[in-house]
Amino acid sequence: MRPTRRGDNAMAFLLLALTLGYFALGWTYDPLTRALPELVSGITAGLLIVYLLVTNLGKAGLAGVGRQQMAWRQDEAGQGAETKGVPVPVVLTALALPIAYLLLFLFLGIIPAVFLFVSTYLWKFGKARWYVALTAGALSSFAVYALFLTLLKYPLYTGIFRSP
Amino acid sequence: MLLASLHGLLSVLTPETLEALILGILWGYLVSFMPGVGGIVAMALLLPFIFGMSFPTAMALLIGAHTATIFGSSITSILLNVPGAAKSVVLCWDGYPMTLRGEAVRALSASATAALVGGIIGVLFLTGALPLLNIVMNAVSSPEIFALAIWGLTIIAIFSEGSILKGLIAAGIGLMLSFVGEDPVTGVPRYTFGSLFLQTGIQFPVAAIGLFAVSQMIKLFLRSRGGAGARERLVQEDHSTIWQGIRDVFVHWRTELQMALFGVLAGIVPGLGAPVAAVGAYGQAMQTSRHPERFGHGAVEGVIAPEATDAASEGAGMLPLIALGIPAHEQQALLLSAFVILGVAPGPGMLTHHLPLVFSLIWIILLGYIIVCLLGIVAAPRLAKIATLPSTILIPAVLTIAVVGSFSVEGIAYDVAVAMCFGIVGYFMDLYQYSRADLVIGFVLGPIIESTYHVSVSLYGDLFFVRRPITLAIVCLTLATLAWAILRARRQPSEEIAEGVAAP
Repeated sequence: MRPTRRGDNAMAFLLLALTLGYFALGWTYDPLTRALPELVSGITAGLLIVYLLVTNLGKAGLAGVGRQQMAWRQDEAGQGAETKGVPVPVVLTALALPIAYLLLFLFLGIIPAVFLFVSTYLWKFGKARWYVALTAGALSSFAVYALFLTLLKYPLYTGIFRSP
Repeated sequence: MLLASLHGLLSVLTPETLEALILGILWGYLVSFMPGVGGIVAMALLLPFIFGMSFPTAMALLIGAHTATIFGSSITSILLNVPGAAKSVVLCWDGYPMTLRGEAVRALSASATAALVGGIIGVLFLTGALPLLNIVMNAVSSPEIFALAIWGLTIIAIFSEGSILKGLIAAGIGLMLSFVGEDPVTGVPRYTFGSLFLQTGIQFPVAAIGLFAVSQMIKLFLRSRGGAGARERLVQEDHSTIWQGIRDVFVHWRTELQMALFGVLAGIVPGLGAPVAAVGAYGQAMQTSRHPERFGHGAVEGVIAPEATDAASEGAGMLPLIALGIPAHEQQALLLSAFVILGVAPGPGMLTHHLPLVFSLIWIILLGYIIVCLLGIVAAPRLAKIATLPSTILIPAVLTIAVVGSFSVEGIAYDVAVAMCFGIVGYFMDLYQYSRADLVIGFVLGPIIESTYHVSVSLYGDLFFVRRPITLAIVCLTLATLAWAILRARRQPSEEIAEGVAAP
């Protein structure tokens, strides 16, 4: 996946929508509570609007914006140094890794999650033999268990179904 | 003054105190690699052991642990782009690029040496200027701290990688995120959507773990998996030496000296905070450098400046703690509780009637820094090997540390979800060049900015920044720097576009 003008615009519009939503929600609080959040979100929204105008309508702008525009022009003309990015399925896999770890953690608890994630990752992506992957997973979960026992002051998280 | 300093030193140079100092340091190093389990946890776990100890021995144990975790957070910032503490965010900007260039050993040894020299300079300056520092301490209050925080935020946003606009936008988003939770003035929950979890706001370690550690591992996975030139490791090998890093500090002696003095001044201002000092030091070093364009791309001064400031400010930061009972950060709050346990009452009298006690603290900090930094210099070549680990080991290891670290901040499972979400957000921010560092700085400075803003307005009115001369000067400096940066930037794209058109 590589950054494109369309993607950059989408990101800016998304941030603008979130900022305006933040501003609107802040208006429901009393004046003292909303003073600084409204000021900051208002300025941020203004900066986002200026950015969108400069990058899409202006020829040259603030530092970095100009360079970015130049890079996009080269890309669109097929002159970019790197016109191929990482395949989308690989990007989705990369983004799914933390989500997968999170789901394992939430549903199974911390020790099973560590064991499953480490051993599966090493077996699937590290091309490790199954017994090496399982051993590494077991050692990792033991280390985490020891950490909770000796250092951390919270009880082990045992998952949504087993936690009180 | 000299006599008090000598008494303080003699009370520290006892076998029990030195032993406690070394134990504290080893303990601090042990826990410092865990994001979310930093200095405060290391110190809190040692608190029960100080009962019955003498004051210098107890302080040596706690301060030793604290000092080691400070340097430990520098190590993770430089090697893995994961700031272990708010003040270490700045080290990611140049320390990590140095690691990617195969100069991790140089960066680590420069960091340790800068901290060592900065600590020594800071203590020496502090000792000599103790009577004058009272004046500075009393001249700076909420309006000045507010203006300094805004200045620091603006400077970093201006000089960050990529567009100035994007830097300022990222900083604004960071500030907006910091306002989530209870309003510090009115106590009204803001942007919580009725969630009890969000009532306490988003925790800094959780956000930092996600934005840096998790997103870095996503990037590393992509680098190792797809496209031409895929790399299995962050760094193939490190070709730098310890002596390069040590030499760098003495080559850039002006930066070292200036930032150490800056650190002393920043440290004695109550409530200013280490993150503001570190950001200000970085910005100042960049502005005064002959090659400001190198900053953010692996300039060693970008490592030296914040480390020198941090080290010098630690000793100086004891002054407001002891004289006014105002802790600069949570670790100092814990020290304050240790004072109470040991029967020491902070107050103005400490600087006049109990100077040996004050100096014993300063000597402990100095000795702690010497030991921590020497250990850091010696261990740098081994520590640098972390960055050369293959991605198949690094990715599951760092993600596991991220999960455990984010959970251990408050013991709430939701924090892990927040960290993972921030990880994905951080990936896209990096992709589209919105500075994650600026967001984190805004996030960290947000509470300081808000609390000082409200205090300033209630004391001096809405135009407080006009009524205070120092505040006005800082505001003018900020606006002037912003204007200069915009003018400079407007000239650059035209030249570059012209060059781009002219090139074949």
